[in-house]
Amino acid sequence: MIIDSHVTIQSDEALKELLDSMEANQIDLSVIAPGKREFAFDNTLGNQRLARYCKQHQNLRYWAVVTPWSFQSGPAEINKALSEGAVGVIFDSAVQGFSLLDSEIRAVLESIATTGVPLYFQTGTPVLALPLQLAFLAEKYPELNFIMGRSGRPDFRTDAIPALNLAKNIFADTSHDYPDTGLLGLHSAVGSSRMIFTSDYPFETQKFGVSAIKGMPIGESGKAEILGLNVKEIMKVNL
Amino acid sequence: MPSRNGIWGIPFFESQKYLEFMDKINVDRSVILPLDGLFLDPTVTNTELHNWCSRDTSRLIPFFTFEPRDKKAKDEIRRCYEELGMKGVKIHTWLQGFRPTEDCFIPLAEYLAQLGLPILFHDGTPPYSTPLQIAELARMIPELRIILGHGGLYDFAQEAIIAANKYPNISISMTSLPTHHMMALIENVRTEQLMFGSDGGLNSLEKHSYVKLRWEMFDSLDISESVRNQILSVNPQKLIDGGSV
Repeated sequence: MIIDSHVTIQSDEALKELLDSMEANQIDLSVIAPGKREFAFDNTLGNQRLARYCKQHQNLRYWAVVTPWSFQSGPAEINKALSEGAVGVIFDSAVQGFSLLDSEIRAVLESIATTGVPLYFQTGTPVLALPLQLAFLAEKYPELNFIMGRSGRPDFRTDAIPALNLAKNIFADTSHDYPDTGLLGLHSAVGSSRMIFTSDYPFETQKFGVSAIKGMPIGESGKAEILGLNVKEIMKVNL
Repeated sequence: MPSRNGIWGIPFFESQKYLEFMDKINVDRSVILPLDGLFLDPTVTNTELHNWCSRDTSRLIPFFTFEPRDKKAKDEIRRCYEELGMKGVKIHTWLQGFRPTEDCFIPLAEYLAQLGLPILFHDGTPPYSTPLQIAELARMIPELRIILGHGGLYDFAQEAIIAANKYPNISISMTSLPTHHMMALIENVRTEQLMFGSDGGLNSLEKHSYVKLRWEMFDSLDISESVRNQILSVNPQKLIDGGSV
């Protein structure tokens, strides 16, 4: 079983290419995320678009998007998305214009905390999206599972392991990394139970993402955890 | 060049081993960049790098570095160029801790332009290594050949494209980039301004599968044979042999 836990679909046209790629790379499920405009401005449009794709295709689930600045409407938007098939909530603080340390954003997080769904935070972009900032946030919500998008890559990857060590409720994202260098380093630090396969498609191909995990010099059971079992459990998806 | 001093935990290996690795992945020539010299006395490390490449200078192309705040920096440039025959310069303004347009660096960059030596900059990392910061140097010294080593990495891709489009003396090495980003550069920058790099040497040879994977990523791009040849052969050849970009 292979679950690609983070791909971006910006348009209807891109959907077909994703489905073809999933078939070619034997990916059972992809968790899709919206485009930049929908992150920053039109959350509802993004959630509705992704929900529609998921209704059409059994092998898709989606990350609901909400700006933390939407104090009034945000919680309702999340609940609606989760009732329509979203399996978690995604943030890109550099695009959405907040710091992971901002206390103002907590209202939306408080409402998500009651749902128990995982949260995906893009990291690696200074000044607003850094691994150690995510660790600070994750420590405040120990009951929630966080995925550290891109694991700080490129230049803050060196902070990924310290962040993972600080907050045990963070999972490492495997995108853009290599079997016996960065990925093996993550594995040595936190083990396969805290690594989640993502390709970051279309910014990288699913082919290279899958081959990186399969090429890791670790046992097959560890690869299975990374490729799907871990995220299946925290997202509670049925496959 | 792998570290002789254990920097970043990278073990040292002899150049013969790297030549054998290049054979395995069908690479004819590699530009060899300093690592130790970014942190330690460059007058020592430049000589070490020159010696490492001397096993086969037709295939291992040595670049040197220097400390711009050292009053003897110009002497070191002259030595590397005249005595050691080195072919270019690597500058990592983020790690070396200065702005690309800092007062101490400008006259040295002008001297490099006078010698016809290109500078390969690490780029894509604030606060000292954004593409547009480096582009300022390109604007100030139009005859200086500049290579953005990473095409802006992930977050400064647009800056890198703008910089290359605005200043013809800027080239981009597509190094450590996702395939999508490489295609964006190919689609938006003149082919004559593009090169490819693998960032090889930043781990033990046993762990050089990342280099092989990066070549496979480049090979997976949907580009014509002529574009591929321009990026992999024609442009770097000009860089090394001192032709105009």
